[in-house]
Amino acid sequence: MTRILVIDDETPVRAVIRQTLEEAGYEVNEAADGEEGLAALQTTPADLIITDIFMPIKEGIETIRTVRKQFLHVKLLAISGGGTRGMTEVLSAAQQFGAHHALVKPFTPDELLAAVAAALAA
Amino acid sequence: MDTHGSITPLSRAPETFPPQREPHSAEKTIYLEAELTRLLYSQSQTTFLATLVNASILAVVLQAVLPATKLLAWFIMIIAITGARFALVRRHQRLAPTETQEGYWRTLYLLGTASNGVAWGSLCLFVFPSDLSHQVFIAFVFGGMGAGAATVLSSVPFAPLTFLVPTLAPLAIQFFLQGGSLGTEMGAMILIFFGSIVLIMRHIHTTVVETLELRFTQLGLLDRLATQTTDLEKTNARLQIEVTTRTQTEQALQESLARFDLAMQGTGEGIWEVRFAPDSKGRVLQEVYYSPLFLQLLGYQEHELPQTFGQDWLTWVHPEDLERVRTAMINHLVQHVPYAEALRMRGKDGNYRWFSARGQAQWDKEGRPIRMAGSLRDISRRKRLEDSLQTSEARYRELFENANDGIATFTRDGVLTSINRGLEHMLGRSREEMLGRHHGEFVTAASSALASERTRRAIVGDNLPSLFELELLHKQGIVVPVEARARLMRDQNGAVTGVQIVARDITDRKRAEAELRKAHEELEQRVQERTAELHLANQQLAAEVVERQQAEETIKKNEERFRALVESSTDVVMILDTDYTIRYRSPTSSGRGIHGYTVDTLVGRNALELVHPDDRQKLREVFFTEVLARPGVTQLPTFRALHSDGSWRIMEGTNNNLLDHPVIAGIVYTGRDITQRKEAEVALQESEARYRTLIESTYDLIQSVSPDGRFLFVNAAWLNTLGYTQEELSHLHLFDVIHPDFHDHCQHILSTVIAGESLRNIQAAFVAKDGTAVPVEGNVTGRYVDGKLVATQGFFRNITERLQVEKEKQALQAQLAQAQKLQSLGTLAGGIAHDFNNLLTPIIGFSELLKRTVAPGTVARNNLEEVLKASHRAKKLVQQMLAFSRPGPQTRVPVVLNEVVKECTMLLRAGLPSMIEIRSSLDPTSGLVLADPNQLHQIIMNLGINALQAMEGQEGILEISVQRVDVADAFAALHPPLTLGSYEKLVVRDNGEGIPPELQARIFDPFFTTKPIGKGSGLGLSVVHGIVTNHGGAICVDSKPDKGTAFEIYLPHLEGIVKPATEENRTFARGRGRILIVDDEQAVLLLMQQVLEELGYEAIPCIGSQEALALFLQTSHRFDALVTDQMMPNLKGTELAQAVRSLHPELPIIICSGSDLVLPEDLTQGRENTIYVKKPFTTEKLGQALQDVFQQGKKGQP
Repeated sequence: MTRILVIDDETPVRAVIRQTLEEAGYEVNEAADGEEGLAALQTTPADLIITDIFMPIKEGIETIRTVRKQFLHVKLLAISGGGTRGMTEVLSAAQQFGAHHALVKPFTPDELLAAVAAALAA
Repeated sequence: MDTHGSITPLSRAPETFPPQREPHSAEKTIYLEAELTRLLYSQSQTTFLATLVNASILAVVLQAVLPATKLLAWFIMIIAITGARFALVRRHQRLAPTETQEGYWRTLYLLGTASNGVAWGSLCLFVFPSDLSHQVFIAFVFGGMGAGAATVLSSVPFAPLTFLVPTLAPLAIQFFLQGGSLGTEMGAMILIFFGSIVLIMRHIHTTVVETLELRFTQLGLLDRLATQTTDLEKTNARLQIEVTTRTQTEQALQESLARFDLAMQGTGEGIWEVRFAPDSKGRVLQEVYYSPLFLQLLGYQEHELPQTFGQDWLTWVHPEDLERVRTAMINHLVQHVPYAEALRMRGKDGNYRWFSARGQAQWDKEGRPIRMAGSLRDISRRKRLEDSLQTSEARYRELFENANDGIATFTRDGVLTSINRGLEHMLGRSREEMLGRHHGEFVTAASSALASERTRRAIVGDNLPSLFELELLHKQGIVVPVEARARLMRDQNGAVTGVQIVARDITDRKRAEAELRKAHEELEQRVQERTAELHLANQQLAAEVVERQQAEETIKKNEERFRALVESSTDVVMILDTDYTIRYRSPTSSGRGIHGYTVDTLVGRNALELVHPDDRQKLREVFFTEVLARPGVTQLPTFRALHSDGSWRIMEGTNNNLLDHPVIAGIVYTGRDITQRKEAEVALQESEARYRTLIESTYDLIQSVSPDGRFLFVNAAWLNTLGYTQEELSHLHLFDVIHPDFHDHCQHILSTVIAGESLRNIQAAFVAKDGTAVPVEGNVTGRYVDGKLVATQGFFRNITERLQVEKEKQALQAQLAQAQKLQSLGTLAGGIAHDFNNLLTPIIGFSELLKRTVAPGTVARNNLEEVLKASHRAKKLVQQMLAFSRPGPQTRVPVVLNEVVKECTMLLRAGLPSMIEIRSSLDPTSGLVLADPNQLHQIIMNLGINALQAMEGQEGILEISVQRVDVADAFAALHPPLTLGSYEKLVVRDNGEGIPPELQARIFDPFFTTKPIGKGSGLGLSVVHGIVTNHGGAICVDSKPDKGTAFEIYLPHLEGIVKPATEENRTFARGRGRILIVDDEQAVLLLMQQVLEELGYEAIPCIGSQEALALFLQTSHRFDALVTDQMMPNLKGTELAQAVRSLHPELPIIICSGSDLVLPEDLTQGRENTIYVKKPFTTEKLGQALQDVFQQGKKGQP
């Protein structure tokens, strides 16, 4: 079963992602920030990590970089609601640092699943 | 050249030869003597050596028996003498004296020898030893010395004696004095020794002399041989010199000849020579020579000379001179009379010229001439000169003779040398009677003395009166008085040779003078008589005078009073005659008037002389037309009068015509010096002009207003600014030009100024003639006379521009603040958007998930749908917000802004109400911008839609323009993020209702809208602002209520020509074919045509549907497709399509409409080649539609 780690500081966002993915048959693990996510990865391996970019502790880009160094086989999907730096720019930056795919918030369940599939296939 | 003469030096040569050496001659004696002396000197070295050696031996031997001091003294003496002699010998050697000098040297030598002898002899005299053996030793040494001396000195006779006698004599005497047999014998021995030595000495001398004589003879022979050899050599040399000399002489002679030739040419004389050789018949001309110059003088070249000339040259002589010349020639040849004649000879040109001919013949012993040579000189010029001199002389002589005055010359001694006819006449004597006699015989004694005295004094250089009187004595005894003039005559050297005197008869004058004198004397007599009479009358008068004096006193007092008045006056008073002569001028206390002249220097002068030349005419005019015309006072124009110091004084004055006045009878001029006043006036005028210039050239408004509000003065700037003319000014009141808002203020100012205060920095406003308010700032002061205000003076500066600038500055500052505000809002919006997206994510997500579980058609499902709809609207809103802060996906590529504008214009036009016109003006030089083409699209569409909405319901114009501009620093500073550089300026302008000023600052704020609810999100302009700022550009708004709004967007210009991305990325559906396009608007037609042509079609525009139908009815036209607008008057698009379809069933048709349209069934039924396209559309959409209908048309074809 494909294991997915969801990292986002917004609990409702994690919840809707978990539900969507679990309904689609994925095994989902959660973390509230990059640091927690990396810690969780040590105990529970994952095939894909879905990570937000703007987070209070260890934000997304850094998390992506760390994952790319330590866990070469793990795929990465960056998600972001944008902000002052611009959503698209943030996500393209994330892709440059190793994210396999990116998705703009808000998204529908179908859009999420399509993005997940795309990231896993990358 | 005389050969003997040339070698005369040879004959003198022997005198210079040395004399031959003859035996027994004086020379020989001298020679011998000299040679003997030289022998003496040459042998002396031996002597000195012998002396020193012997003296040393003797001293050593005798020291045992003789006192040491004496012996030492003797020895030193010997050494000293020897040294002296040695020195003498050295000197002789060095000087090498001549033979004749040797005698002197011999004496010196012998003196030395004698001294030596005495020294030796002194030993015997003073320190002779007593012991015999030593005595014998001494004798022995002395003997040796003597023998040596005899040998060495014998060349000179008796020379040894000089040594032997002083040496041996003391020795012999000692021995004889000792007595005794031995002493005497020793003495005797010495004497014998002496005698024998003398004999030897003589013998030696003879031998030496003979030897020398032989040598002398030999020398003579050698001399002679040498002499003769030298002689011959010298002769040779002389001969050589002579040869050289002769050569040189010949050359000299030739040069001399050449020089002579040159000289002859230089003198300009021609030379001729004739040689006479007798023959049997008498004399014939043997040979004639003429120098080239001779021929030239006659004008011939050498070869041109006529043959006859040489034979008989006399034929060339002028006939008048011929006889004389011939005679002269014969006289010379026969009687040797010198031949020198002036004669005329005919030249080549046939004219005679004057020549001076000279000649000299040579005769043989018999007196026959053998040759004659002569010269010819052209003296034509001299002759002419002589002629003219003769003429001149004759002329003067004529004058001299015919003068009425008597003229004579006499020598310094008074002897008359020439006399003219005039003088002959005066004296009644012929000149023969007088010439050669003393002038004293023909004048009175006094005159003679005077003449002699004058002559004497004139000669010594005294300066004498040129005219003096003399008395001549006429032959008949009458004395003739004359006035004379004398002059010294001098020769070339300036020496006085005589006196010339010119005398004029003054008898008549003298007589008249005498008569005058007589008349004078008679007059004198009568005067005396009359004086006596007068004297009497005087006495009577004297009495009368006393009476008068008293009356005069009174008058004088009056006169003084007036004088004082006049003198103390600064005015000048003159009385002039009618011809301007000053008859009287008022005296002044200083003695000089205002003109600086004394009274005396002015009276009698013409007054006009004192007037400046330029002013004379006007005074003259007044004088003649007014002053003289009537009695009374006439004011004179001002004029300039000359002061005695040379300056010009400006005068004003009057002329009083008192010609009829019994006493004055003249014109009284009263003048006053107003120079200072005039100068002050001029200075004042200049000063005034200066201030006027300042005032008129200033940009400030200057006015002077009377207290009741009338304008007394305004300057040019005032008039220019307010638009009034000087004429209008007189009708204006101050309050006419003061802005109504400031009337009260002005009133207040006036009262302040009346109170005596000035006001500074007043701000007010004028109203110009055209109604424009002119804000000013300035000062107001009052001008007071006796403390009362007579005028207010205002100095104002037009501050319109300054206020404008301040206003603009404020506006710009506001804009800057706005930009900063928007920037912060953008930041805020970004943050909000992030949060919103995070919120929306679960809302949408969970709603979707929930929806799957709820059956459709239920209330819950419907509710969920509403939630999702609202969520998606929220999502869109957030996206717009983000576009404002940080616009999303951007693909910036080089974009041709003009192209985007064209596209947008077309889109806007499609949905345009016909009341609104769109104008676009695209700068062809405008280029690329680096931008997201979609976002550019969004900007233009947003602004365009806003503009259309602003003009809704009214007629309007929407202008879209693109222009390339350069942004300056100042502008860039106020519009961040602009920097200095090149930008593309996009302007979207409408003439709608405009934006109220109070709202302008907020229009870019997100969610700010004035539109009714549902019509606008309030994000349109915020998004535009965000996009523009994000592209490094700036946006400004310029809006006036009811006039419209213009948005100006500046986007950085991109250098370089890059193929626009739109062209690359978009692949339009292109095609081919003839398409008829129909619309009732020309602009739309043009645009459509452009678009279709871009797509590769040939488009034929047609305005109006009926016209289009007409085209189809003409069978000659064939079209591949029809594109028509729907909304057209008369025939709508669908109706046109139906009509066309009946004619061409297969023709593809596109109908365009801004509103939804349902095509009639007959158009669509069974056919898919007719479609409807909704406006607005893009090129892409139209291209695709065309492609579709063409394909459908093909499908439909059987």
